[in-house]
Amino acid sequence: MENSGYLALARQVALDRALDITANNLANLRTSGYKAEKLLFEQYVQRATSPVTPPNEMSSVVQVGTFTDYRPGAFEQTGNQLDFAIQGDGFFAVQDPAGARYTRAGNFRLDDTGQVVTQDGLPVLDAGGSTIQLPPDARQIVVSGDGKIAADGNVVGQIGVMQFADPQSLVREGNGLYSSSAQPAQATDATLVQGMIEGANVQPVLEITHMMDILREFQAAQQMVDSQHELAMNAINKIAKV
Amino acid sequence: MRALSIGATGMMAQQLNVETISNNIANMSTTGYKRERAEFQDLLYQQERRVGSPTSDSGTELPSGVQLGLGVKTAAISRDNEQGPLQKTDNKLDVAMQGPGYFTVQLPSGDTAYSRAGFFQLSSDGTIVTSDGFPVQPNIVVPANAIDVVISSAGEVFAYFDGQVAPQNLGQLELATFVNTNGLESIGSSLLKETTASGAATVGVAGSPGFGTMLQGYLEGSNVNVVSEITNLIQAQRAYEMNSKSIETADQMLQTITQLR
Repeated sequence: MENSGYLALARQVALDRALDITANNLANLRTSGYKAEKLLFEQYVQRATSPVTPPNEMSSVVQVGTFTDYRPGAFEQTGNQLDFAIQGDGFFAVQDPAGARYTRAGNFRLDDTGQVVTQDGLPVLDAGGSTIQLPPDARQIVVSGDGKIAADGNVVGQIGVMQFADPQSLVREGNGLYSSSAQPAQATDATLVQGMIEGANVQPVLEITHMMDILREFQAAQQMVDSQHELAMNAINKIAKV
Repeated sequence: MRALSIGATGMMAQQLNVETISNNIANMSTTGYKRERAEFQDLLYQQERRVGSPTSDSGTELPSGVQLGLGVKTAAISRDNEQGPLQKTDNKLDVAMQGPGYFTVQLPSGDTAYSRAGFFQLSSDGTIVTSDGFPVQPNIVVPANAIDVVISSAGEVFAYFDGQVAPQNLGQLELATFVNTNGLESIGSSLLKETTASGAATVGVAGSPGFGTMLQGYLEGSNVNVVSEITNLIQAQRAYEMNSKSIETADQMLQTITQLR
């Protein structure tokens, strides 16, 4: 009898999650290299304990996972010679104290020794996993599509672009970083573009309409709880009259 | 309702973005100004179901977990050191830098600051100073009876005197470069200071390897591109509004809950 209330509650909990994820996507609308997060739900079917005909089955909603939308974001020209965008599948590899991390945000800088680092100062790695050092007096840095860095005409290193067999297995670590237990391979169909940054791939129109949907569904679930409540009240009143 | 605080981080980030953009627009005609850009990163993630965790004894594992992002944060406001346009002024003591290098300025505190703004003047004793009166390094004194001052592309300052054919070499302006120019700290008045992130200054003269050249009678304008700043401003404003929408939605959902009987 009270089941419909619980079903509505399950729906509301799920919608609350969905709103958190939508809000996070919107908050990162202007975050370089950010990839939108999507939520997956599945039904949870509760079998009736006693065999009744017709079978009294209940299915409520549970979240099974979030997945990342790896579609490319819009490229934005910055004019900075250490800003890179990856065209195609692939990630930059960076060295975190906790191990190798991967990122799509290519807004790199030099540190005081001339090492190529991320905004957080983590060294960017080449395909072999070593850090990249530029000569301190380099004036013109040109990076070709395959990541080879030429400082004033001399090739001094190569920015590594790695790819994963299953990018959905990557774990988000925040700060634009992803970690993985899998070993990446060198990307085959990725091209580096210098002087550009990949913007977030969040689609604002979609997220806003999604948010309106969430709100309406939440209210609808609420209606269900309300009418269930009314039904119960009615029953109590009528039974009491007899 | 994490959405409330997530939306708030988004709004704060966009507010900072608008502040950075308006500072760029405010400095669109500031000599030697370099545009700045706010860089954002996603905040931490809450792992509710970690991807790849085993789901059975037979070795099956979760193909995708539940990761809830908690918003956005500002990673850095980085300076874009692209060359600004050169503007002709015909002022003898205006010097523009073409290529890398900063003028060295001595602050009243005795510290050294660095600047790309080359509008110099003479102090009462003839020393070449910045528009704030801070001496440009090394101290170069232009004698009062000099009729003309010429600054070469290497930064050598020559003075011409009445009755003398050959100019007199008064000294050479020195320049500094840094490995990481983004690491310099802005202290206002178009001045920058060395930090541990920028690395130690490499002092040299204009025209030597790794240094740019000087151009007398020109100033380096600001490298702010107004069109792109305005488009960024529009994007920042829209992003701000959308984040306010997620707060609004969360609020309405909370309101629905409070109407529960």
